[in-house]
Amino acid sequence: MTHSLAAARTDGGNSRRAGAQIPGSRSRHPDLLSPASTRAGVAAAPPALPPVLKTRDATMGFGLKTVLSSVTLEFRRGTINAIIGPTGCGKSTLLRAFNRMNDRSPTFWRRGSVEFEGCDVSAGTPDPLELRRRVGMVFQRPNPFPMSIRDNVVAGVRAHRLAPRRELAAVAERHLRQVGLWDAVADRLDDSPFRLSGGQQQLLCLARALAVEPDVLLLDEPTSSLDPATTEIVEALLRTLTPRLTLVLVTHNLAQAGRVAGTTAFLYDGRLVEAGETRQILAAPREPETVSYVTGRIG
Amino acid sequence: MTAAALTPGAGARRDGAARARLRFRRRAADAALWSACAAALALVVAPVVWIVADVASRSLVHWHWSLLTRTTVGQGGGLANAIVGTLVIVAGVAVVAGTAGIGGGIYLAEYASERGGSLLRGASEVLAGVPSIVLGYLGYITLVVALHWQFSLGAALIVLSLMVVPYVVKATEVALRQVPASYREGAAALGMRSGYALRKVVIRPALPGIATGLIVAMAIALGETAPLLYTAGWSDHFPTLHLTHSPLGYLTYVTYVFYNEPYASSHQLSHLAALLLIVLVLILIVASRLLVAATQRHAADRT
Repeated sequence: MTHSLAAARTDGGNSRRAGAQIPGSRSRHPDLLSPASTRAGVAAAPPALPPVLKTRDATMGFGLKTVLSSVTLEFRRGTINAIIGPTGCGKSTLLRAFNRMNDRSPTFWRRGSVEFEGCDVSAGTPDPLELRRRVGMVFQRPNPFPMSIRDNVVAGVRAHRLAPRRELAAVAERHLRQVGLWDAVADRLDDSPFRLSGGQQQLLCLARALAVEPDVLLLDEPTSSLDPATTEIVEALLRTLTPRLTLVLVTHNLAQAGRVAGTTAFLYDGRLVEAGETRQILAAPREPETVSYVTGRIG
Repeated sequence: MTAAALTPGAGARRDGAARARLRFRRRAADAALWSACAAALALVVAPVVWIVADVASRSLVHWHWSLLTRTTVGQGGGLANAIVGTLVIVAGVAVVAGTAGIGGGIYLAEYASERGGSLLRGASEVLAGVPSIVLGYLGYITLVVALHWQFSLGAALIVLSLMVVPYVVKATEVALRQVPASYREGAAALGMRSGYALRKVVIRPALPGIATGLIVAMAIALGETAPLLYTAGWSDHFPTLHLTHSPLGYLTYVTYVFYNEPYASSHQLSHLAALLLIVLVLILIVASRLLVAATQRHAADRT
């Protein structure tokens, strides 16, 4: 604990300035600057809007293993938020708590609250299927379905009956255009998606996730299997999705967090160590673990 | 250690000899493995060729097209009734065992609890292990005699389906379990109901495996004799398609029973029925291959 304080003091000026930049979260969490605390608020302008996603004292795990301890965090509407941390720190579990993907494992348990638009995700309103429509997800490895490219894009639209059959082609085109894939696949919409490159497959999965008109998109290391050029395309695309959507991006790549995310939360060993503006987290972290991570000494 | 051995020249020579020995050992192991593979291949292929050649040589000399149009009359005549009977039985088994087996496989792969799953799996394995003659006898004393169905299509279908349903269950379960978890995850993340995801996304890549299991089951039903002797009986006439009180003819009966008759005409029919059985099995195999090829159009071709 003493070395934490020391670290905070050496960087005192910076952290005080950074803290002042997020007044909303300070007033809500007066202990934000306390190094021992795992509580922090992630805030971004405008502070008046209520958070779309929020966890309070969320502790969760699988069976006897506790993966996350007492995480309190919020994501505001229309922002891009990164969750960073070393492998096994609980990033994915936290992400999957928001759309209840963890619940697919029978041994999963949770305490504390995880909220979407003010309601606990497990409360039943919206029901889990509607919750997953409104809180979409893109995975680390592209996972197009074994059906044609066009059917892939509208798979969710069909499942939720969001559009009549005769409009499905138009829906598919709109979202393929949105992710910039239309020109590449316009003449092979009925072909298998598995002949596309990895990056194109991931864009297709993005189009599929966007086609059901979600409010939030959870991205679990969406570019870690892509080459740098495609990564750049995906990142540019992500920026165009705000402010209509709220994005939560789990990433291993600190530079990526720096490029796209307004706020960043750093998880270490199941605890939320620090959260705040990405600039501050990367340039002037307050906690010693964060310092070690962003300078490459851990993780 | 002599001084000569320490000179660089001697060391190199010894190195060369060791390398040569090593190379010889590698080549010997390679040759041994290749011959073992070739022998294994021959063990599989040779009997197939032998059976087909033998049956063809014995039967083709007696081939006449009226076999396919005329029904059996006593020890002679044609095989039309037996061909249609076999096709009816195989189609019936495909429907009955297919429905029950695919349903059971889906239950095991997707919904079964630990206990329910192991119960069904165990029962299925026991069923697969029961000798077909025992199943036939059981069908005889329960369906044919006790329920007064007499020799009938219904009794034959139930007994044969019981016999092959474990294969369909197993094939379906295995095929569904091999579907990448990422499909299920992706479907769930889109908010698809699990049953909907199964129908629209998950079952598609499993279809070739399920179809193959079903075709194996049909091929087994096609070649089965013992349970049918007990349940289907025999008839010189075309099947009536009534489920009870409807004895019917089938090719394996001709192959087995007619061969034991002391007449040249019945022996000819026996060989011809064997040939037709082989041809039908071949057709089933080709059909399964075509089906697999057709359903693989959108399958992941990741290696």
